[in-house]
Amino acid sequence: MNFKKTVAIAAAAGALAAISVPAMALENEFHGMYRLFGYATNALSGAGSFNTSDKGVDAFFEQRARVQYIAKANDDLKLVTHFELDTKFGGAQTSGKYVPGNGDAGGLDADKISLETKSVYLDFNCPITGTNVKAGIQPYNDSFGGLFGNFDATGVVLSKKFGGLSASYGYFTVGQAGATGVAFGSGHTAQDLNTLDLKYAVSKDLTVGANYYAILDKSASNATLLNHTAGLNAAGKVGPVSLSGAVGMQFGKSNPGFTPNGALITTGVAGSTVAAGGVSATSGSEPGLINAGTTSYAASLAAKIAVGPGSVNVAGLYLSGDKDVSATDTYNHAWQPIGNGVTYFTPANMWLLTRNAATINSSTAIGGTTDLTRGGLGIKGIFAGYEGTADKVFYSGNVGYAAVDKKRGANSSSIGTELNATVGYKLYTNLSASVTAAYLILGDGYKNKTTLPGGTVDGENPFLTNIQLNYVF
Amino acid sequence: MKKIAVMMLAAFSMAATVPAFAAEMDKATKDQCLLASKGCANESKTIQQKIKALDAEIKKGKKVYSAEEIKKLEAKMKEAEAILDQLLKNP
Repeated sequence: MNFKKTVAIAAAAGALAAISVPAMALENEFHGMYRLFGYATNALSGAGSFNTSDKGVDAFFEQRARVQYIAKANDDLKLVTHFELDTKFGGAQTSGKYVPGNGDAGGLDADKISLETKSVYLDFNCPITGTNVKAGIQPYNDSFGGLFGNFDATGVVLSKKFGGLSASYGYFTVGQAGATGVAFGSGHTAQDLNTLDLKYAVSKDLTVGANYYAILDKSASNATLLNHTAGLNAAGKVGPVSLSGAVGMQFGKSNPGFTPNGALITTGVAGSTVAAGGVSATSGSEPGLINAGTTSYAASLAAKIAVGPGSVNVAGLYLSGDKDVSATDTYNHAWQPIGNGVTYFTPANMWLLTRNAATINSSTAIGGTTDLTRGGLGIKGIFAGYEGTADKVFYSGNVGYAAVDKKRGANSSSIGTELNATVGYKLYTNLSASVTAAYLILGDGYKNKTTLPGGTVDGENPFLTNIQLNYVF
Repeated sequence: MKKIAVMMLAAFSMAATVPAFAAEMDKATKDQCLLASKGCANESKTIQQKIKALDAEIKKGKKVYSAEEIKKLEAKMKEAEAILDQLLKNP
């Protein structure tokens, strides 16, 4: 064999190897979901508000689709992209997500833009340090189960395991001071969130954790201030009982109620343009609290007990409220999430008292807000229910009671008692259909013409029924 | 000789890179992809299938996988469950 032939064969073999070696391939992962709600309710409008006045029953459909594409180069490197498309049938989704005044794509002929970014981030394991790095717009869940905030945000999160200890540090930029465009120096007025989450697996059935979050607000209107949130959490299993709980404390300066770009909106604290839940805390009305010191608390507990074909769920929630919002009050005792729209307590399994984890465009609860703190008045709630399955049928029933922590002059702190039930059927592995009914008996805090968040004089007991279709792949 | 070698390599590369081609061309076989959307060459796992498959593999335990590999599968299971959560739940 002469040299020329050897080279030709070697080149051809090399080309073949390049074509067929599987390590060069990219793994494409596509996932997504579609959810349809058909509502008949006297409380929801499909635009995010919550009605307690006597306006009759509204009926409407709304839908959400999520589409996720993951480009996986190998086990240590991938790009995650995730998009969301929300629509109210008729195209009048007015939550402000899409081009103002244009509505969404639910109108005749559909030609509207209703595409949202949910996540776009790079996820890789550093080959030198073994640290997992997530950089970009990514989902973040706090260690309080959503009491401080579960959200998507731009940041960098570094995670590493040291034996049984998992440590995660995150840096997020959640807002910028009134910037209408990108300008040099805008980084000096950014609103940053630093997160530290530690989890330690004591045994197979017990994990304990500690977390610390710092909001550093460098926006000019609030001067530089620092708000601290620290917490402890645990999750464990004892026989048929699964338990999880968290406690938190906040100190430092108040989360300042800074709203220009929708970040760091405070909850019932001075300086906010409109306090969550409609409490009369208009801009500047309580200047004493803008830079007030903070001492506030949160606690949550959720238990799942396997009984029969399903489980009994019990949950409790406490967020401290502020009693006296006035210029002379030097301390703010209201629990302050990172933003109004990002708080959750999904173990409650409520629809009207607190928002349900399955809600889409109409993601709200009594008070017309997604804010659990009820406009800084705080909340105390206890919830119980049962969920189970029988072949392709699934069902659940829940009852819950909630009151504000501080009634601030209202006759009563009681928000109300909710009863709800859901029955569903799995049409296919990926597709389920269900019906839900929920009814909220308003507490004295509403009935007696008080000023609880979103309260209405002689309010109607809110209810909703919905049919739901869920396709997940 | 050179021509033969190149032709053989070309034929070999076709065979190596297009495995589904032969099956699709089989006249006696029904095309289940066109007929019933099953077994398509570009088919990818749904998130439920992925979780089910990972669960099945983890259950095989140390008879099949090393301790390190099981840990890896468990990590992938957590990742898949997180994807499902992100798809289904708020925010």
